[in-house]
Amino acid sequence: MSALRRKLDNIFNKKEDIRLSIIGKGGTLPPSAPLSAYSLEIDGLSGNPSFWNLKDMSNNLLDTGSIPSGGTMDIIAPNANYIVKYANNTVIQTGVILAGGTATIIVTDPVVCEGWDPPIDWKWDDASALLLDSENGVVLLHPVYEGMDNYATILCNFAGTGTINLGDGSGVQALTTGVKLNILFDYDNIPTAFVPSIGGKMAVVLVKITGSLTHLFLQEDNDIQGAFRGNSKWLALKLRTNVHLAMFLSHQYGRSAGNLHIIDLGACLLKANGSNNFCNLKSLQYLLWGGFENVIGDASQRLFDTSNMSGVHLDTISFSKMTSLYYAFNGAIGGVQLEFDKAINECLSLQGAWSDTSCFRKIKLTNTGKVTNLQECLYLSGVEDFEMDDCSQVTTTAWFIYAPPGGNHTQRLILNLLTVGIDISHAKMDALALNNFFIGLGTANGAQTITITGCTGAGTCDQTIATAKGFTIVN
Amino acid sequence: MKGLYKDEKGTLLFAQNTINFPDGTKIEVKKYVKKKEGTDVHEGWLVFNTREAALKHFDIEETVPIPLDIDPLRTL
Repeated sequence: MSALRRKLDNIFNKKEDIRLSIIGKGGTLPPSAPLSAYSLEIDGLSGNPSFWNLKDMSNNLLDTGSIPSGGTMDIIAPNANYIVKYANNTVIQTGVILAGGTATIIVTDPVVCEGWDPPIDWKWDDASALLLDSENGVVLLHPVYEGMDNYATILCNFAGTGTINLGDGSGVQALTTGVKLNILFDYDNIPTAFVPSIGGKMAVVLVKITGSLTHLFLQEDNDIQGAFRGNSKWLALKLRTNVHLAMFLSHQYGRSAGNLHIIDLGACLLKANGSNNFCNLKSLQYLLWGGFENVIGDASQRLFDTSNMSGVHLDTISFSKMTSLYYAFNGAIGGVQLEFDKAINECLSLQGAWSDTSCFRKIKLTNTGKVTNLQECLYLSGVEDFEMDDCSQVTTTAWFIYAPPGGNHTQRLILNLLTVGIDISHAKMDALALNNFFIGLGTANGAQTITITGCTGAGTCDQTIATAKGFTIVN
Repeated sequence: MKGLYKDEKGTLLFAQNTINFPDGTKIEVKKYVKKKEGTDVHEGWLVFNTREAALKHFDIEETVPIPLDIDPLRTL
């Protein structure tokens, strides 16, 4: 196990902290309890919070106790909001529950990234240790080359005061919130040795904030350099903050922090208006982002658009509060065959979500009753198996599964309760798969047409299953 | 391609082999493709020799989606 892996495990493997977070006021969780999902029932919320019951997902009572205000579990007036924190005070989940209601605390396994370690001479372990998990700030690596103008920018918004050390001998300087810092690294004064793996020296940039970091931009034009296109050269990023964060790592015309190989966000939460968070990051090897409700609102729009998925572990990311997966994985690369099995309770749009990518083999979506838009969802996609449990509100299916003849990979498609027409031409669905697709349909909302031309089982499936529900079937 | 075409809310539908309707009506396309272009076979399904001819008849401008550029930078 690499040093980085051990370090990451230390960061994310918060079993003890989680136990403290949930039952830190006197209760005990069985030591053998797996990292999984627990149900936390809180009563007495209309007055003084009084007690909690911790249950496993089979509803077995594991523990009970009282809840004081403050500490690692805070109940905030008017006593319906709760915050769960790591022992280091990092917020891992917030929510609202009514008296007698239930909050589900999802405890996920540590992020595990196999197959890639940063070159040893990056000394990322040493650099990342400069920022503690309990602090607010950023640590970054940036290559600096002899005889070149080494431009970069960083822009942070934050509360309190900030300082930045560029790691090039210029010392610690004040960082002003909302003001872009134009950087020109000084190669000669960087104290670290030549780094063979990058062919230059490595600047270790450390930003520390006394308050909360709310926004981070890494792809701005440098005013000394002028406008640029392409990627900024930031190589690695570790960020810690105790509030929801908006991260801006990409820009139109392909300009992005696309050289980032490592992004370590710990348990940070992303802000709703921070779309494109990991968009266009073609070099991404590690995304270290664990925990709870990591993304809220529409932060998932173009989330991993055209990014490298090979080091991204979706298991640790909750999509239950996202309102859109608009082109979230469009054009994703990485030579992987991922499965995406998620609840998307608040999601309205899956437009283009898995379009033009071969990184996903199987998609299983639950709690999909709010989805209205399936346009281009699997357009030119490599997905073989796609399932939604509730399509009753879907109104748009244009180009849902389009691919040229021979280029459609879908073998199984379930769109339960769908009431509108759809074109699934040339899907590799045999008669059984088509019959199962028909069985899942709802009742047609008026005149609706399903086109199955070119499907493997088009000539032998039982079309009466669908026509009995009011659909016209075109072959 | 010869077949039956229909304008469904601005989207061009195409039937190459069969159409099965909810009322039990079944259209076998090959029985109609030799009819005059524009012949209305059933419930708005018309005979055409080419997709282009159908698009022109229904005045549909068909565009294949092109993945959008990355959204402009959002400002604070």
